Amino acid sequence: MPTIQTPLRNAALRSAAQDIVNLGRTDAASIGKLVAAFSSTSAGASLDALKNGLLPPDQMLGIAQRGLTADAKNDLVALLGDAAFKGTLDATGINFLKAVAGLEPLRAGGVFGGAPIGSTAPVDNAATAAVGKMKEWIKNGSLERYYEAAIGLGDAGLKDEAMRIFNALPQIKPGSTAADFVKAGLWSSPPKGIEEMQKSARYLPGREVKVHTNVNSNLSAGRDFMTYDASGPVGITCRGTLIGEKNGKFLVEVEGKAEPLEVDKKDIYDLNHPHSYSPSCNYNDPFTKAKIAEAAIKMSDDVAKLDFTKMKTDGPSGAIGAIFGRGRSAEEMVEVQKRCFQQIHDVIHMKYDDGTANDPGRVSGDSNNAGRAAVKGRGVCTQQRQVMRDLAYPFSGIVGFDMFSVTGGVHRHTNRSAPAGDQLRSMASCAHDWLEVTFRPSMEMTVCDRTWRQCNMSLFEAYGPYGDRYPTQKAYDATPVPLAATDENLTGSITVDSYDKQFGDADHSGRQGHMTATGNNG
Amino acid sequence: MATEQGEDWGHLWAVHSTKDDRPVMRAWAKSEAEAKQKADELKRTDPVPDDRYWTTRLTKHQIEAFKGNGFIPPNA
Repeated sequence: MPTIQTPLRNAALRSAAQDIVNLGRTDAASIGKLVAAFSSTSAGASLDALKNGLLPPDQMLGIAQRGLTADAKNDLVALLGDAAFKGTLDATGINFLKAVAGLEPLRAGGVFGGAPIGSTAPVDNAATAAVGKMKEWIKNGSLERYYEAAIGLGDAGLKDEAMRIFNALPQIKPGSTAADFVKAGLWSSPPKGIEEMQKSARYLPGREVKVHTNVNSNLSAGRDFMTYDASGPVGITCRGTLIGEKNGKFLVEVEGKAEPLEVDKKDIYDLNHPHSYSPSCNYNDPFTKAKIAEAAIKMSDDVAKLDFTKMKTDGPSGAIGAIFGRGRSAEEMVEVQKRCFQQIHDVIHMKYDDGTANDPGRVSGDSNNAGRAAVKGRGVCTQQRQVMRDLAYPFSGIVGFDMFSVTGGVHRHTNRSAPAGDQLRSMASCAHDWLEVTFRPSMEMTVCDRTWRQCNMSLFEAYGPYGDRYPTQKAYDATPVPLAATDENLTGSITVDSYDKQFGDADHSGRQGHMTATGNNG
Repeated sequence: MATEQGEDWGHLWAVHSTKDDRPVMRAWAKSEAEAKQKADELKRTDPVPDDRYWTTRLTKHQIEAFKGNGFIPPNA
């Protein structure tokens, strides 16, 4: 049995680290016990959740950093150099402990339990064969029959084979790498330049942001809708553009206002920083594995085209720096990303809870049974958003998109001749949920409303005067991912310029009030 | 009491409406009768009526979600 050789001051830390070596792999509980060994947290519930492995890395980080003394940090850094210990950790474990020690940012979406670093997760022959069978069923159009059989409908003779294949599929989960997808046979090749995308800044000049300010909330205002209006009520507008920072605040240009707003960074993070997945989603569930595999296989050709190195071009002649998103190659890459995201959206077959969605095999679904709900599910907007988010999350750090869970209202019940303040209150008075999806590194923000089967909508289509949504707040179950050290770059060395201002010259495209033609009917 | 799929029914009802297949929850109520009354009222007062209005009984999970986002008060 390998033994930790590095001398450590903290005996409890040494014991917890040796337990991980003895275990031979990383899991959330053992990492939680390691953190508890040096954490001074006295919060009983937090400590219990930590030791029992109930928290994902991003939620553990805050607890770990709060309890980290200088001595503990030195021990941790020393431990990370120990061959026996390091050789046992998976990529998420190493990244997490380095993030605790402040050596690197925490990568979004990681989960403990992967293969030790240097190897990809093992894929057995049965898993590879199951992926081959899924490809065959997709190609010959029989996959839906197998899903139906698996939930007790249609051809009962197919049920055993369907469940055998779904169970044998490789587990793809948050933290899985592009190499895991390729090794499993789901993709022929990984995207190029993933690391560059993953370390790209989220907050940089040119990025559109949502911001609180006085707005023109009159739905009859046409293109002036949601521009700055000093006499208007305070609302949330997505017509802001990040242009820099000053005195520790972000400078945000809002259409209709000559001078930029100085906005507390926290306010911008609250309205724009991406959210994580639900820990209650079981990525080892056979239906979840099947739906993720189906989406992965269907996007495989597009994934092979993804090249994040093509998303950066040199600035204009004579200018310093580079630009994300400008140029034909960059625009094509964003379109490829959108097609990949659409594939995830389209494998989900859920209906709204309309009082009649009780046909055989249809179950109420959410994070707890995301895969099963995607086969034939029912749910109100919150539930459909959760299923979409949790099935999409394993792809997010690889295909390059962030997700922000939104709760808001709709426009269509508002009296357009009422005072602007009344209109804003009316817009915020319903309960509807959806996702904002921001593609990296271009930071182009779109809206995905799974319940209305509208995917990859521009902000204008979703939030404009002819759209039908007002984003009131982040959803109740939204857990922001940690802010990474690389998330801000306001130096001007790099900017984003991927699209025309989404509200600027856009006309009423006709998509706002209609469901996407590529969506499914549940 | 549970639904046919084992979900726990909650004690509240919801009013929904939809236009062009864009359903949204509009209001909550403490009984089916109150929910239907609210549905009728919304149908009368919406500037442009939606295509359909209906009520459903909420599950405990749904109530938790709508309380979480502030649509239903915590003490309802």
